[in-house]
Amino acid sequence: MRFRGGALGVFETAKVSPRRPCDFVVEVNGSRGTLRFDYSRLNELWYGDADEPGELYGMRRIRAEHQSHPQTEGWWSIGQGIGYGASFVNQAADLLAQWPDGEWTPDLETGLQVQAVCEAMERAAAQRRWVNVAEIADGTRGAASASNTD
Amino acid sequence: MSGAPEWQSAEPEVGIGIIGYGMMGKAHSYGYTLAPHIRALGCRPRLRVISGRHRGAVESAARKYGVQRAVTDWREVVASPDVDIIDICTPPGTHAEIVEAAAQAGKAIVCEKPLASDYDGARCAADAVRRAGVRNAICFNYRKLPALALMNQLIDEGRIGQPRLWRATWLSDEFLDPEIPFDWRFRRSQGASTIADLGAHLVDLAGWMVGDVESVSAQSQTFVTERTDPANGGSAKTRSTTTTPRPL
Repeated sequence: MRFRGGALGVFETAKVSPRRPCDFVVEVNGSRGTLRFDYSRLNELWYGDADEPGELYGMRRIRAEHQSHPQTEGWWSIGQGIGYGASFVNQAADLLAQWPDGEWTPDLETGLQVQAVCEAMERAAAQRRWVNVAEIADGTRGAASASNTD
Repeated sequence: MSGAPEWQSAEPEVGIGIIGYGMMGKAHSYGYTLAPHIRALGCRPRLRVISGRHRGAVESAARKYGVQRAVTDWREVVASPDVDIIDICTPPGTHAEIVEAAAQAGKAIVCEKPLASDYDGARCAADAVRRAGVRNAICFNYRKLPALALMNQLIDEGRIGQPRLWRATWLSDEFLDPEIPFDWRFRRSQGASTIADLGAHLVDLAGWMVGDVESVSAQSQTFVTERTDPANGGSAKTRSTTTTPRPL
């Protein structure tokens, strides 16, 4: 993937990986640091700061359930764990706290933008070429391929 | 005399109707049930009705999830006057039609990801809520995990400088066993591709943390191309098109 801001990205999804139940890892490298999340340790976030002195070289393990962290309001004291079910509780709480007039985010327009990127990937795979995401919304250059539908 | 205590009845009730009682129906009803335990919301969610095609199963789910009524036609949920929010937890290929009906009924809409099984369906859904001017939300629940929310916040704060490289994997063995019989998950028009199903979470996180995606390249392969179809007496094989096949 190429981002508008100039960053590059790559990801892999599969449902045929033996003994990998929901192994979900996200890493971002910036000009001055790295962040890494591993779902199998979902209350932790790894952070490396390139501006730290050399003797501290490495990544620190942030315990991402401190009361100062986002999405921890109302949950257990640090160290007890905030998990998958809690993500749906937080989601419902964020929606209901904005009822009836506050902003809901992300909205279906965000869902549409995500779908455009996914469909661009399907088209890119079927046609073995780079695909601009804008071409999905424009409806140009046809569907992914005849073999890509039921 | 009302059964509700005075402190509780002072808060307005918000009627929730959940369409679909599977894993996501369970997760979303759990979310509404627990939300008042963790936060002062200013309203009281009430699980009014849940729908599913199989009466026994949806009634059992309603009992377990604490929903007042169970119905077998999702249109009854949309038409229910005591429902303010329609929460869609059905397979992706059904989302657009339900969103359109709920938007026409003037209901607020919460839709599980992916928005649809393809871009055309997603476009119909997004257009419907815009035309109707109804409140709407898509569920990317992983944004609500503290560690990922913190990751996004630290990037926004400039803690890693300018993002340059983003990478992710999502590996599961859900479809590994070739003996798993064919069902809606394997039909692209209902379950969507693996790119759209699992990839939607990763694409959303990428967009949230790093910004809009401009262009992509990709490769994909369906490794188990035939599965037994119980709808054909258990003997027929049906081509799986869960992921995009490699072009010939």
